[in-house]
Amino acid sequence: MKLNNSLVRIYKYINEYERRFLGVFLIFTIAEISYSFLNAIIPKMMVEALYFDKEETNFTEIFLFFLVSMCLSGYIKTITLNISNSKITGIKNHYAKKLFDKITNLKYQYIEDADFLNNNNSTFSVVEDYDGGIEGVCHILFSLPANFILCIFFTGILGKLNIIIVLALLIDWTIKLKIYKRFSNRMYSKKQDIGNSKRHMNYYYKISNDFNFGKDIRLFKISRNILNDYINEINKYIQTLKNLYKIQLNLENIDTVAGMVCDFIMVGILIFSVWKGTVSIPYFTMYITIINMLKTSLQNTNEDISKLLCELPYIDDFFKFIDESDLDETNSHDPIKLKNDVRIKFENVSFKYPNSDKLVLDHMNFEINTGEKIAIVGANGTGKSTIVKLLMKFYQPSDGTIKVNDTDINEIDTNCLRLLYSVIFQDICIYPFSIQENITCCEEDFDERKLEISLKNADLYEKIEQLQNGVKSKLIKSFHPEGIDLSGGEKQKLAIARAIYKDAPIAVFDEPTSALDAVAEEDLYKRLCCLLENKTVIFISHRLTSIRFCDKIILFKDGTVAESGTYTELMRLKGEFYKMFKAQGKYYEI
Amino acid sequence: MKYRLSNIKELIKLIYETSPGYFIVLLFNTIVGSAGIYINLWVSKIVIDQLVSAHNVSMCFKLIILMVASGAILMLIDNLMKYIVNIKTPLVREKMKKLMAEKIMELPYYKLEDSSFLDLKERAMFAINEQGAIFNIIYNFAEMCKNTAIVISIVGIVLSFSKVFVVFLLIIILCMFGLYFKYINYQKEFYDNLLLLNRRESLYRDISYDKKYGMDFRLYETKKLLSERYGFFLDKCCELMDNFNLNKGNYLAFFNIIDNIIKIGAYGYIGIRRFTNLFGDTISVGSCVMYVNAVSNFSSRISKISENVVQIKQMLKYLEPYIEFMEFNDVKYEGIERLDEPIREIRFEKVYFKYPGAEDYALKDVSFVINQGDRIAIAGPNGSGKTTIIKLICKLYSPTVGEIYVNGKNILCYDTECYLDAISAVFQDFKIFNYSLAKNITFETEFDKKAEEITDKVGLNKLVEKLPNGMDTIIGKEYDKDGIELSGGEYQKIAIARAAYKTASLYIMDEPTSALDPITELEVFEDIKNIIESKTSIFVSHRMSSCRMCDNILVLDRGKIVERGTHDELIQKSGIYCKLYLAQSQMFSSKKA
Repeated sequence: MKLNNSLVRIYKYINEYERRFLGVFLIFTIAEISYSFLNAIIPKMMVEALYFDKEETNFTEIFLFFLVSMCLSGYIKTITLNISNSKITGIKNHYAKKLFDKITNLKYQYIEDADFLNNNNSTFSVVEDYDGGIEGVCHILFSLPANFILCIFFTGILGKLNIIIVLALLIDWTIKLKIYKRFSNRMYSKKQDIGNSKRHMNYYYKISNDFNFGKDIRLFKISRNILNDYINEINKYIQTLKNLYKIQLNLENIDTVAGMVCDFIMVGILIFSVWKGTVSIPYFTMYITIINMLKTSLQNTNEDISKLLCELPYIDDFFKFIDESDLDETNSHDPIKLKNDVRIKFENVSFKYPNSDKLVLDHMNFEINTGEKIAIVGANGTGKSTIVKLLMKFYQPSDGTIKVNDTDINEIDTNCLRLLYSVIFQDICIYPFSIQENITCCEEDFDERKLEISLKNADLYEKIEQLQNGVKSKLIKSFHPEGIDLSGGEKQKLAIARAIYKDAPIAVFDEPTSALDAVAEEDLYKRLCCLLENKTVIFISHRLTSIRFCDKIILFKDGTVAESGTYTELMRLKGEFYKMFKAQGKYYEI
Repeated sequence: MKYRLSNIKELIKLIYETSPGYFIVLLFNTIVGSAGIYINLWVSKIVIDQLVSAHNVSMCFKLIILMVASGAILMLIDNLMKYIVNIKTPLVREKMKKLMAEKIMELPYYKLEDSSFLDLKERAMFAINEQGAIFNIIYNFAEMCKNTAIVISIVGIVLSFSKVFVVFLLIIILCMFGLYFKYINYQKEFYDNLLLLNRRESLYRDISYDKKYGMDFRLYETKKLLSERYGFFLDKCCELMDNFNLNKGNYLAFFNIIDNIIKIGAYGYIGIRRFTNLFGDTISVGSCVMYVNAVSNFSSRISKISENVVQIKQMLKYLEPYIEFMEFNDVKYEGIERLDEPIREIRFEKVYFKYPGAEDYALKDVSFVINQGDRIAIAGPNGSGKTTIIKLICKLYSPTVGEIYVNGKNILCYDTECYLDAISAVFQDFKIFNYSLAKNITFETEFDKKAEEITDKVGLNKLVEKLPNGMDTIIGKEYDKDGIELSGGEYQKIAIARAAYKTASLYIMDEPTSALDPITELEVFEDIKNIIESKTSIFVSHRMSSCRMCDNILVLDRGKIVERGTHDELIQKSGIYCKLYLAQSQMFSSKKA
């Protein structure tokens, strides 16, 4: 059997950072083996002392010896086993953290790719499971050597009695290993099916649990429908599992029968030997105990090995993911000097999403100059939000180049590039941090005055003044019992404060206001423009009215720039913009 | 305590419902498990005694065959038990999730917007999904039954061994129980803390995969802080575990020592009888082996039983939020009156409404009448209570003060399910399901003429032509990766089509076009007009323009109806409506403001 790579890596990590764990492991293995050994010989020694030896003193000695040695080795073995539990959790946590950092640095496009997350679901659960995954494997590896040594040791003792026993045991063991190997392969091959079933079940579970679906479900009475489909999926899932576990059951039954035959051979030989007089009664009790213990050890070893074989492919996947994942590259080139004057230029940019044939952007050309207040408008699905994702390098253009100050953004370090923007997204993200951390995005290293100004400008200062803990108040009540929840409007203000605090040269508003009416929206936009007077501001909107004051309006249509210019210019042009404007205004004609 | 018992009862009922077979196998497992041990003990005694006096070898062989065979049968049943636990665990878990889903969908809507209730739901799910509670209960329950049966079956052997030793045994076991109770309390505290930490940790994990957070933390460099915090919780978890495991290790090691003392003590007792006359006659070799095994089995099984009980108690505690959730009963009065006729009239009489937990009234003194065939618009600035009126009409909430009459009877008298048959709506935050396009409109498997007409009318037919499987195309990628994602406008059209498909006597359109661009909006607006025709309808919109086509307009401001009348009347009044209308229409006047 070739040594598995992932196991070697886990070992190397332990060897480097968790040296003490290896010590614990060694002590445990020794204690476990001596404990089992003592258990195996105690009947023989006792029976011998009690019935086949006339000396009284001898018995007391043996009695005391076993009392002390068994209590001691039992104590050590139990303690070390329990200490290992938290050490193993520590090892798992190390990899959980590693995965977390990978995922947060992963190229964004994978996060939006449902397939990616689904395919990797079982990979991620390697660091989430308590029972399986890295934690499970470490537990197995912790106790496997002791069990294994005991198996060999006991087999050796029985072999001394009669070599046929060893043969029988070997055959039994080979059968077991074959069986478990087969099952683990089968299990892994069903990964896709099980993943699919889970995905379907989760969908039904999610929509019925998602309170946002509540109104529609009630009004259209879809609950019966959902439940029926849900039950069907559950049944399908269970059926897959049943088929799988049935194989396991059959294999295990074969294993049991083989074990029984083996037992017959062993016990038969043993009794025959006693009858013939080659084995004394004390030894007989020892052999019987060993046979029983060997059975348990074999059972444990087999279960451990089979579980190991089941889990290893997932762990291999996990390490593969850790090694090969496609991260946002950092420091690939010298960071460019960031100044407040930043020009952006789209040159013949085309784009389609991965796994899609539809061209979202089709040879797009436009330019945004320093300090300009720009509006990007257009119908739904014309690629307005895609622009934002391209600017931040969340996606790569399929064709053409995006330039910042005449440098291709592919040549700019991603993190540096992202420093250029503060974006207020459509959905506002609130982190389970304090208000200050939510705005400044760091724990201590922040500018108090700037924070205050941001809060004041975002019109959030008074609200926070009223709070008992001020900016240190924790957000998300379900996470921090002492925390607070913000209303929808306050969340938006928080997002604005965050954007102002970041003080990036370019601010982007990606339709942040669909809950506001047009008049309120225009007011907000105007206020924002005043606040960000010398910054470049990009508004993305499907409303044509609230962006009249912008320096330039860029109208998207079918993935290209249909028109651009000031409001007056576009209206005078009587083109697409004018048409849309008229459509919106149709009902206002008096 | 009563509460705990009812939990176990509920759970057993649930397991029984999902699989009666489990209990039969459980019974077998218990009987054969204890019989196996019993046979083992006796067989070893007889065989040894026979061998010592070298009498009957063939009987020995027969007995050994019996022992090995019973051992094998026990293993076979054990395998079956394992199989059943493997299947039942996910089955019971999924069924519990399903029951919860069912419960949520039956709950009165107002509960869903209650954040403490949401939190309860999350807690309820956490134990089921993340803590392996179901597996542990099923497994430990089976083990407990088996261990109890073994203890009972060998208690006779232990008693026949020696009265004195039994007293010694009982004292030690009592000490053990005393310790165990201390241990249980300690464990409980630990698990409460751990559960809290685990929940936080998993929330961070969810954030790391989340699309919407994904963009945000990549842009704002929050990931460093996230990573630090996640690591902090992981470390804290580890620290907690460290303490706990050390403590647990001490307890368990102590139990292990007691086990050993009992076992070796049994030898000692036999030695005393062998070498002195203190407690009685010498015991035979066979009996010696049997008694020692019986005693050590006895004590180890008892400590296993206590472990099983602790585990089950612990897991039931995890399930408490679930049971609490499932037992939540709406105390509010549910009407029984059936609404068999179309809605002829809706009358609000001095309705006041406050959201649960809110301080201010969302609606104040609202009175109006909607008659059959009316087309009503509800207008007003943000947060003026427009959507709240819709929620009250849909019986999602009931008024805090005042009454709503439908066809002359109080709305509360009606059976909600039956009442909702009369209403169709497009909500502001409508949801489209990952069903096929056809099923999203009809919620049935077949697609009839009416549905076809409606898809034509809302202009979905163009979309259908583009889709790979036409009307059978699955919408959305979450359920099926071959599903198709549509644009916001297309989703909105589906929502309108499905509202139109439902046969109702009142149609409600709450901001049906908010997410649309101007051209699509105009299109959709025309479609809605076509579909609604002369049916009773209520429109809510920021856009004053949509009010023009309505017969009657209610203008809300801060929860009060401030104006009402037709468009022309309201314009002449020059009140708030006129102001809003002019502000908006001015935006569309060709001159720059």
